[in-house]
Amino acid sequence: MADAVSPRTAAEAAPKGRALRAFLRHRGATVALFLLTVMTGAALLAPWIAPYDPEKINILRSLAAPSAQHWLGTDEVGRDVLSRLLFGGRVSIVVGLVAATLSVAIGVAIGGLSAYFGGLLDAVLMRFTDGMLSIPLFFFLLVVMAVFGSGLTQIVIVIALTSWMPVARIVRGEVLRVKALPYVEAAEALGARRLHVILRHLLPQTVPSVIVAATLGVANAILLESALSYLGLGIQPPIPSWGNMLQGSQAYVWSQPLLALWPGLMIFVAVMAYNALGDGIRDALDPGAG
Amino acid sequence: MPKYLLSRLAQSAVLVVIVSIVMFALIASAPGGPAILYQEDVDAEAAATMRRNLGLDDPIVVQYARWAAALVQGDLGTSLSNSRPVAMLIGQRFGATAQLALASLGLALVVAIPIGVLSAVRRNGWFDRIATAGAFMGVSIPNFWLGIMMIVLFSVTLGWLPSGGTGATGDGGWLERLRHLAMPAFVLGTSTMAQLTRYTRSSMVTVLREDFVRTARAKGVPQRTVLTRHALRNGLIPVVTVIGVLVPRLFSGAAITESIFSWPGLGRLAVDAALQRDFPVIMALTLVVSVLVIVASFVVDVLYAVIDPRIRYG
Amino acid sequence: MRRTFLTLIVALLASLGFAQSDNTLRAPLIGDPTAWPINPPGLISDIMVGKTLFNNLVRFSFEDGSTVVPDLAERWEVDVDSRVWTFYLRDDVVWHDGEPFTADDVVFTVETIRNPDVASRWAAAFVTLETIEALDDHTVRMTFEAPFAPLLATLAYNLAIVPAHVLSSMDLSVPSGPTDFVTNPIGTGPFRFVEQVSGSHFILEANPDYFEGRPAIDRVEFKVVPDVNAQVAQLLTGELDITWTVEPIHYDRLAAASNIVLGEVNIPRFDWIPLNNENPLFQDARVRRAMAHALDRELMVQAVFGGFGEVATGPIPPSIAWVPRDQARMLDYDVELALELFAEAGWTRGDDGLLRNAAGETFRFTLLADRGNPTRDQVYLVAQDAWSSIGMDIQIETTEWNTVLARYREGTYDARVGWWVIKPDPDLYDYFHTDGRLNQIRYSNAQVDDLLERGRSVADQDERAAIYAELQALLVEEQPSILTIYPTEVRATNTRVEGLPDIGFRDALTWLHRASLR
Repeated sequence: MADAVSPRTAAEAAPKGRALRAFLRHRGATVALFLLTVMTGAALLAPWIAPYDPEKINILRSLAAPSAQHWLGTDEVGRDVLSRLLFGGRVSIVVGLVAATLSVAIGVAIGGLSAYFGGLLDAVLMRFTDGMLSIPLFFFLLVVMAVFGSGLTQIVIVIALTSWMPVARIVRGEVLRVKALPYVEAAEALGARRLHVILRHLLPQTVPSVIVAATLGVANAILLESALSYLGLGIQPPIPSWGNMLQGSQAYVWSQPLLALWPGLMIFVAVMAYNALGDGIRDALDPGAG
Repeated sequence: MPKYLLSRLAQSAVLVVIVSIVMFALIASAPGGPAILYQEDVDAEAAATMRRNLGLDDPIVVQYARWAAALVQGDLGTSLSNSRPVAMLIGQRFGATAQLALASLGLALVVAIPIGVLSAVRRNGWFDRIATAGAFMGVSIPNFWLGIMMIVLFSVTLGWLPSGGTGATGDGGWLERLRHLAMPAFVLGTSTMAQLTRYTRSSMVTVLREDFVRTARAKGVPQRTVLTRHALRNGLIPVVTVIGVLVPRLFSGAAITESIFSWPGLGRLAVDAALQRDFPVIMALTLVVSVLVIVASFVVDVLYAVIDPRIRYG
Repeated sequence: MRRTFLTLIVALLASLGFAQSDNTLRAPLIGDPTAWPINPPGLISDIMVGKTLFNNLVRFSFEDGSTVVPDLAERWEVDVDSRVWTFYLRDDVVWHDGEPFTADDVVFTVETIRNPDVASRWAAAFVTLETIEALDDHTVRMTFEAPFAPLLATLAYNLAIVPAHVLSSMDLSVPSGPTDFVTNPIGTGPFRFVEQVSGSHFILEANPDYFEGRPAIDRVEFKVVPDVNAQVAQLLTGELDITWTVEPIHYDRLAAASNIVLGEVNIPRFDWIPLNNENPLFQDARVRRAMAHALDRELMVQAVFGGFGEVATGPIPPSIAWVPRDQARMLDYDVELALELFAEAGWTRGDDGLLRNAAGETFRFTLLADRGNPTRDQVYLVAQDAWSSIGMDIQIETTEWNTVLARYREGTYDARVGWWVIKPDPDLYDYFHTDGRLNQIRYSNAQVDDLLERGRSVADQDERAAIYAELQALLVEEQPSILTIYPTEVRATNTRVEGLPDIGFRDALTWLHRASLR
């Protein structure tokens, strides 16, 4: 039955290969994809490729300059910086992906329900969304982390709970648009159940915009995690994260400035890559923009 | 006017009340308590007495009512950490943050608008490409890292700029203050600058495609006049909106920038108050920042009407 | 008109920085200070400004920082059994608001500290105080239930005298002090309050009526500079004249600067790894000694403390020179011995290298850490490394400072890293007595209790010295927590600062009126 009213919109109506080609033409996005693959791979393989135990100290070799044994030198207690970067990447990537996924899930749920049911529910949910958008979230985040303690789980949840709003708005807009399309009306007229309509017909239409929002969301989450860790409110040592490595290194900028360079550079590159990827996907799906 | 604006104002007021309740409930329900109770040489008995004296043993509702009642009378309370009136603390800190925020906004505008316009005019030229890449990096760079790297370069290596403080208590005059302001303002302004560049560019690109611009050009109006008379004015309208969104963000971003550069502003006050669980200060800052966000978006609406005569409220 | 114009020009020039007087000492604080010496809410910064604003009855000497010398009291008498103390106060002291200082102020201060509702942390000093009375305007008598030998050191340590005429009408139960007082503090000290801006500075000016003469320095600007890197940077550029404690990572840079003088002083401080003595793992003194033997504390002094300090024996630091140290032995770094002691206590290493007892349990505990101080951060990691390498199963749990202290106080921790800067007297009752107010290590030993009680109640210094020498030796054997290092304090000053005593910075500040700037 669903096949009878083939759900296709302008963006998807284009031959599948075109979007891919458009994406690949986007040089920034291809580079980004490559970088992200390398970074994610390196982080996943950290236990096998890291040259040292990231938590093994050697106080006699502290703050060493880069050398053949320690490519990026050692930190204040002689831990290998490269190994810590590799392991630190796992935290950033996990936080980024999980928090973005969660926030997308919340956003899709709220935006979808709001648009589909409309009326009072829509009004309430959208006022709530506007309200969330207009409070100073970073400050809120800061207080919540300080007051409730920090840790991987807390940080993921808190980021997700404070960053779903743009997704909700996008999804609501898309669903409203699609809802008015003939085939959805047809499906409803044919007596399809509501949930079925939502899951089968409406949500798939929002996928492209949601993918873009999610990609940008990962960048945002990585940035937030590292900012909180930098303030000492995020991931706690001895677990290395790029944010807390950067915080730890600040005390030593005068004696070993390179120590602050690496973790920040990794955050920068990861965030930039996710942003570029998001831009690339958007351009590929919507060739008219720009 | 003002029916629309009034209803927005009412909505905003409700929002502030809700935010304050949520924040209060969050803080009060958290385990532990203000840092003053957890000094290493304060024993448990003394801590219990202090807690009672601070009224923290009362039910949360009573505490909130007490706080709200005082607020209605214009009293923001006193800091738990140092007994100074919260209004005084905020008053003393506000100037530093405002100075930093204005400087970074000014810097962002001065840099972003010309670059954005030029990029739009020379679309896809080499200048545009560089500017776009630069803006892209500006959006992605973690400002705390940028801050540390700038300290490494300009303070540690070159020794040109001071690594922190405002210079207000030193023996320097305005030049010294400017030297202290340079790095924090730049760091805080980077992301704003980058976003403004992107918005200005895309807004100008749209405007330059529009009929009236084409008509003006077709009539032989010189390029410079087309830009300044016609395109710029229309192109900057959306930019004003964006500024309204970005200004409150400057205040949040200040938390980090101020921490890096030991800048005595509201942002660092917020970080310290959060870490010390100084409830009255956290609550007051929540209010101040929320009100600021609302006022900023309000001002933008009004400005919008002023710049674009087509928009009327009412 | 003309004059207004001139004034304007002068003001303008002043704002440009040409006309500013340079007889100003600029010193850093790590946080906003609060001038409430009855119960300093943030401790170190509060105590520092307090030392310049207020006076105590007595203080530690300029020369050695531990001999008690007159301050507001010009002399004192004590009866034979050390129970009744009479203090004769100076009659030429005025408060910063012009009111005369009298015996009533002293009585008021002590009564305030003793008031349970004020919850002052100094109250423990007066638990055995029976009465305090003003015999006349300039004589105060304190009568104790039992002899209290460390009284003078206690009074000199942190007991600043506050003005009765200002405070008697204020609500003293506010934990961080009455608002009207902390925003306009009145003391008797060599410097008086000018201005405080949150997050920025706390400024004092010379008190022209100071009873030991007007200070040579016109102004003291305490600048809030939380980041030690920034402190060092500002010291090098001359924006600061002094940093009170130099972190080891900065020694080399400062030593190389021609405008900086580094000074190293002994202070009454011990660093340790407190153990929760209620934890079954730490009930056996052999185990605790083994943990000390397993730690290369000499390496720690060199690598973490930059060589500034020495390996600790017991908790009484060598700066309290009159307590003999020859009875206390050094627990040397000796991994073999550590493993033997563990074996005697029933812990042997299995095939996986982990220590296990008869029940097969590992020696598992958590080090509670925070991220406040780079040196402390390193000690956690060095200790974890050393102890793991002989088979202890150690986790590090990092959390925020408040939580660390809360759990420390409540006894819901295994071990942490800490230190105490104590008064220059071996009276360690608060820390090691079963009823000690700061016995967060939850240690209880009848013999130790007895020595601590006797040490307090004997007046004769030689007799006390013998008691504390025995206590020190006993605490080394008992090792209720792992004593690590007696760090020295390293201070860096601009060469233009002269006349500061070579003693710990807290006490050096009580002599700031003798310092001058070139």
